[in-house]
Amino acid sequence: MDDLASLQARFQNALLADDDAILSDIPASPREDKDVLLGVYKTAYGARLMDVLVTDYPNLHAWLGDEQMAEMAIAYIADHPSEYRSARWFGRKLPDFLRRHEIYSEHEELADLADLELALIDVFDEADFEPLSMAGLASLSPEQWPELTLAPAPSVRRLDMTTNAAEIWLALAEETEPPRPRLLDEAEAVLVFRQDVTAMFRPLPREEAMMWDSAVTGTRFGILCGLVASHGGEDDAAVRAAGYLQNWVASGILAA
Amino acid sequence: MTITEFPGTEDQLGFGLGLRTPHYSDILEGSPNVDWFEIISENFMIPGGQPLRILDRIAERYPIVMHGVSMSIASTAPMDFDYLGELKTLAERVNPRWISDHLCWTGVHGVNLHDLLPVPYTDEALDHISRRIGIVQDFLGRPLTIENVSSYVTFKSSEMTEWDFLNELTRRTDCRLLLDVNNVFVSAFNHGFDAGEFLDAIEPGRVIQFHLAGHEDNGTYIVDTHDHPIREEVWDLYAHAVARFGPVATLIERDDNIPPLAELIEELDRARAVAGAQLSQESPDRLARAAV
Repeated sequence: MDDLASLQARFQNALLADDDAILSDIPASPREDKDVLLGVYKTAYGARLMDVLVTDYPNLHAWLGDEQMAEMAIAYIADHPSEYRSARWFGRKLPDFLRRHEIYSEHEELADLADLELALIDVFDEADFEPLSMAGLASLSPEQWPELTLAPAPSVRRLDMTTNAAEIWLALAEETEPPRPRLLDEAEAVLVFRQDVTAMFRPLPREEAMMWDSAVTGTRFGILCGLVASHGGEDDAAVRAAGYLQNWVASGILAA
Repeated sequence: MTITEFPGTEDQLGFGLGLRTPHYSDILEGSPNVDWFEIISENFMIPGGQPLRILDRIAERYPIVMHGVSMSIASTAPMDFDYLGELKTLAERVNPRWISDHLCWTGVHGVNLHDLLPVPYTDEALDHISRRIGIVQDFLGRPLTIENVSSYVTFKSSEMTEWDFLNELTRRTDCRLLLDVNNVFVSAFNHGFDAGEFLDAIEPGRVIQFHLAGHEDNGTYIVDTHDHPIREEVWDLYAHAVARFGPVATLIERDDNIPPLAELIEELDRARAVAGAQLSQESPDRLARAAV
């Protein structure tokens, strides 16, 4: 298998590193130079991966524009040869790449936008599940309520945004003028989820974010009410906690 | 496992289309004149969500064939059993008529180039690929169907023609063939062989599916792009293929620049007409060709 293995390694190197040693394995072709024909594979490689990024990150693309998106994609493709069996996963490391990159990291809204778009894809494809229903909660006795624990649906992602990327994303999605990028004084909690068949997101108010983050670690409802009380005051704390819970159930973001 | 002389007559799927997202609602809300659908397996090897639910609904109404792009059967990298496991899980869900992938490799050394890369037609490659097809067929518990790819380069090390390689591969492994008529045309043009000679050399009885697709003609070479209607020369070659191989399940692939479903069904109706004309003309001619 040595000949086949070494030939495949040389061929791969032509696509990844533009190393044309493989040309010595390729005979002349009747109608076209062999380096042009090898170029068909090289071009297709870059174009295919570029296409994945443009498809997965439509509003990052809109934000950057064609030229800068292409430049960024070329840098990412060079830095991250795909290790995935399906090209659909190729763009998964883009948010991390943007956070680490010398230039792109200075524009923090880029990684936040990428995080948001990746989460929207993830929740769309996540496993189906049995959602927690109002009827399920209604059957609880008063003694059971404090002991209730909640499980997030698999199709939920919780992000913290350091920039106004969520606002930028919405403007781009609606094709209106996006706001200037800015760092927020305090990170914004965002919940990305699938409702019925649509992937969506919403910012979480601080108190709700705190309750959600505690709830998904298995904290009992009685203690969650205590946390809400300590955050926003004891008056009507249980009502506020129940309100958040009701909203989560209505949104289908808790599993039964 | 035995292969009938004309599997197409045994399991006549008829004329199908690749299942593509823009057509979901037309398929579910209407009753388009499509006999079956082929899915790209990898698009549905996901945990859940809307695409799988839609696939379940379509699979209730139409026969499904699974067509993959990532098996990398010719790669010298180790077999990816996680991939095969997910493929098998999907097959248990959709109950496909068969499972196909390409005679190609997609990468080595942990890298995936996401392309259908060409194979040298050597004894070494034949041994290697035959062994891997055997592993896959044992794992899946069913025969694998292998498709010829479009290629833009060949290798000096090749010791036989592509058609001899395919024939020997099917003899050794009992795998089936998905004959992509457009790919035969593209490779024939790029490498200067006779597409008809390719078809006439492939042993009948192994071919259970045809692919038809459009390509991009760059003058001195042709690229298999699946973003155009099928070209006239490929229709002619399809007629030749039907005359030789009989009523084999036929599928039109369109992956880019995807037109409305009705437009693809018009192309499918042309395939029906071309095949019908060939099959009504003659059985003697077909049998004569088959006997070559």
